[in-house]
Amino acid sequence: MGSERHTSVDEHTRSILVPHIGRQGAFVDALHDVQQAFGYLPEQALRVLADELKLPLSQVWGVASFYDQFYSVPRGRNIVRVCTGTACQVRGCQAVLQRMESVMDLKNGETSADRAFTLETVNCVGCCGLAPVVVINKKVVPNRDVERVIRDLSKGDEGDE
Amino acid sequence: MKETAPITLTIDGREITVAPGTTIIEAAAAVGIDIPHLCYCPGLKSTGSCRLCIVEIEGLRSPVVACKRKATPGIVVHTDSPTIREARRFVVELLLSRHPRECLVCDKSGTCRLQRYAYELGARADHFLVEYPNHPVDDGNPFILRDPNYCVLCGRCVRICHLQGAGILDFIDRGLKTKVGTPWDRPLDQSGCDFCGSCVEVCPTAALIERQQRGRGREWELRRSTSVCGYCGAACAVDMHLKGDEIVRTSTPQQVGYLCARGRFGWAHLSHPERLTMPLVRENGTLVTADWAEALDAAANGLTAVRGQWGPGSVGGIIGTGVSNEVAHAFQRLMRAGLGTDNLDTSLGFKGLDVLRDIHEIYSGKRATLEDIAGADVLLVIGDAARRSPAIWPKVKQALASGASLIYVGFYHGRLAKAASVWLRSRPEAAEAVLHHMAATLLRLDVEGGRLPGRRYGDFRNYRTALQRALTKPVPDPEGPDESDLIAACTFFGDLSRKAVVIFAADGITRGTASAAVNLAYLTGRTERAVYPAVSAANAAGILTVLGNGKAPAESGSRGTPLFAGKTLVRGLYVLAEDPLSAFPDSERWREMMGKLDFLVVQDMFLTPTAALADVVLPASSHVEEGGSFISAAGQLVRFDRVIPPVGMGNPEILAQIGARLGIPRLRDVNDPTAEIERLASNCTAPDSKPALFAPSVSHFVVEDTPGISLVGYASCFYPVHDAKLRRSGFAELEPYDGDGIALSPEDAEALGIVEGVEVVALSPHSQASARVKIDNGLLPGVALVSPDAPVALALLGGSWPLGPVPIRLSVATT
Repeated sequence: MGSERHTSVDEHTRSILVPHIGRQGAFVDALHDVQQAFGYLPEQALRVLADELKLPLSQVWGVASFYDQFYSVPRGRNIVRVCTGTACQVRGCQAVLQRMESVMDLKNGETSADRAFTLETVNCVGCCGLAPVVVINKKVVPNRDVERVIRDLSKGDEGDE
Repeated sequence: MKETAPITLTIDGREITVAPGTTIIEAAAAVGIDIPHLCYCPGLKSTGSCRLCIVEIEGLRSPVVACKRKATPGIVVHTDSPTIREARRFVVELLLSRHPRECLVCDKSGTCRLQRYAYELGARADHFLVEYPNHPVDDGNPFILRDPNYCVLCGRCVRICHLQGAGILDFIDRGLKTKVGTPWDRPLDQSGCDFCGSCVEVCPTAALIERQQRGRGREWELRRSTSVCGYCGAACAVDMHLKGDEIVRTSTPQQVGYLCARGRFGWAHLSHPERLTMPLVRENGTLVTADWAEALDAAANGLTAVRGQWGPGSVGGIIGTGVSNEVAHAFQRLMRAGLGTDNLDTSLGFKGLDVLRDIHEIYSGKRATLEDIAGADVLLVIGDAARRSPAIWPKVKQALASGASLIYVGFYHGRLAKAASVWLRSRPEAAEAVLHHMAATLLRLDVEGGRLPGRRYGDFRNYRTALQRALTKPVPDPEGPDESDLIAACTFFGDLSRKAVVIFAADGITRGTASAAVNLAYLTGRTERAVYPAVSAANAAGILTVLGNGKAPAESGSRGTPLFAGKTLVRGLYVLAEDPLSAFPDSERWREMMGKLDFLVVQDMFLTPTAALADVVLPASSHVEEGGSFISAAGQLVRFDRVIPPVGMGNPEILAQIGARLGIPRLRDVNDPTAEIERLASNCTAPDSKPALFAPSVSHFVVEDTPGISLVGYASCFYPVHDAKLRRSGFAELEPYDGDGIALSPEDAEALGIVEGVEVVALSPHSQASARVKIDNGLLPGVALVSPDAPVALALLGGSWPLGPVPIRLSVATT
């Protein structure tokens, strides 16, 4: 079983990497593509990536751990981001975050056991006029609608892109 | 055009002339000006990240980094101006704001660079808001204590790990959270670390220290003495840091040198509680402690009595392959002159004798050195040489970093296969055929030019005819290399302008394979310093040379060693630094033979299974307690001094004392590097044979197509903890498989329904043995491997030492 699963990750990763082999500066692009495919960076996929691009695994991990937007653990189908940028900070985002943590029963950075939701923070999404804001699956959701949207999502669980 | 004229500059008022390309920090060092630095490390590429080595150049607005800035003509440099000192103090104070102030109890105190610069610059630890990082400590392995809280992020360990180690360290995370770590921030023992300890040696603070050093002495209490490692034929130099007569830690004498885990950490056995310090004599069936005179009398009298009763031919000697030339020389004189017997044997009788004994015939040129490997443009590595002799790996890595091409011939998908430009996939038994195919491809590609130097050899016609006849069959391994791989390999290797080195382990391949590899060197005109015959045993070459005047001590018997091949009936035996019951194949047969002996003397550091059967046990010394010489795999005479006194009497004195009792008074002089050893060793480096191509014979190509799993002895995933010295030096903690590991491919394991760690019963044509399974992704289905001289290998591979393959059947053990 285990090795079967591995094999499929191996093959999937290899097929993703095909356009990147031998290309200069392919590394970060390749990480993006792998994350796109799996939703995060699975360990086995990074091992295959290191082998295929002939990079030390340590270097692959060094870069993957450097950027906040690369994830090493599976993420939820729905991503809830509380903005903690300067304007949202001034307008009380800490209270919003606390509220979200209790509503979702998740700590900042955690993913629910059923992988329906991930709660995290983001440093400014560029609509400071609406501060404090929460972004759910790339949509800025007005503060008063947040709980309703989450309720709807957990009912339908139709994670949109 | 590149500037070649020398450059004159002024540093702190002194005029200095240096070669172009010299950095300011190097120029300053040349006249004894030591510019403070943390990340700069001679031998490693500079990164200029610590900013401590900043200096002022007159006319420039801001300071420059001395480890990166090259000297230019006429510049005037100030390395210690008030401005510079202030800037450096700022840097150090920033570092101190995150560095625990534990200098009172820190092992690095006295050598810590941060401590030194803090003192020199008068830095205050609390100038900035103090906030310690609170990283978890990695202390889950026996050798390296990694505490990132002391780290100054200089990156020396990262660079050296990539230069010559396993390449597992890098900076992870970002900003204030940045630390040096492994992939997924796992402990070293779960990250593929080699434990070469190179990182520890270059760490400027206490972020990386030798675990064994902890609390056992700081630098000002230690003295340093250079010796040689005795774990493989590379004979690397080791600096011992001693407190009294105790080895506290080790390092390399070079700026950025290499020691493998064994050479760096394999010394704790010297002070292990199980080490024998007093002789033992058998009284009424049990071994009891005896005084030296009594034990030496008993040994001499016992051997004399056997000779008197049964004749000189009834006495034999077995000598370990890790002892010095001088001890081997004394031992053979004791046996030959003292007891009149020529029955001398070593494990080399079954471990690579074919290649070691005839290495001058196989390769007539001067052998390559490790430095030749590092400087090569093309490397051809066959099998597990780089694991048998770990000193090879960093040299391969260095060559690769300077653009060398690597051709790997083997079956294991490990780091060599991954680093290779061309991987010629081949099971051990097919390696010879693959190499002959490569030779044929070389000749074919060269058809038009006809300029391969090998064509000019007298025996070339015979060789080519034999090759053509042999190669009518395809490469026997269906999973072997295809045409395009062979052509690619030949494109690299056939480029005569490139310096090439062929690397194999003398004790890991057959004579045919070694010769086929050397053919490739000869065909391309590489007759000098192009072959490195690695060997696992420290002094294999020396033992063969000293015991046999350069020839083999005796003909190899069909089942290994000549002593017990049935030709002579030995009744009295003297075993020096060897444990046949554990380290020779057919242990049951040996036990039976030992049981029939009238008299057995064993000289060893520990009470081994063999020693436990002895009538007299004499505590042996280590080569570092004696001084003497080895002959390295490169064929060089490597001398070393005594660094600590022996725990007991020491091998040379024991042999001299027994010699005196047998009527040879001058054995005491064994420690003088005698003219004889030098003469023998010089034969080793300047043989008189000529290059000759080895004509393959057809029979080498018959490879049985074995369905099921075949077992080979191959140094790869298991640590050789069955070695009595390594086991007692902490290595047993690293390796969960205690000489009983058998590695399977994931596919085979799945087919058999076996998971990691499961105990199985393995049945080979030779024997049956219980083993524990390790699942190894580097293996192809159908191949299983065992560590070459582990007990499980000795049992299952039996007479087909050292390679196999033998077919095996595995079943899950029922308890």
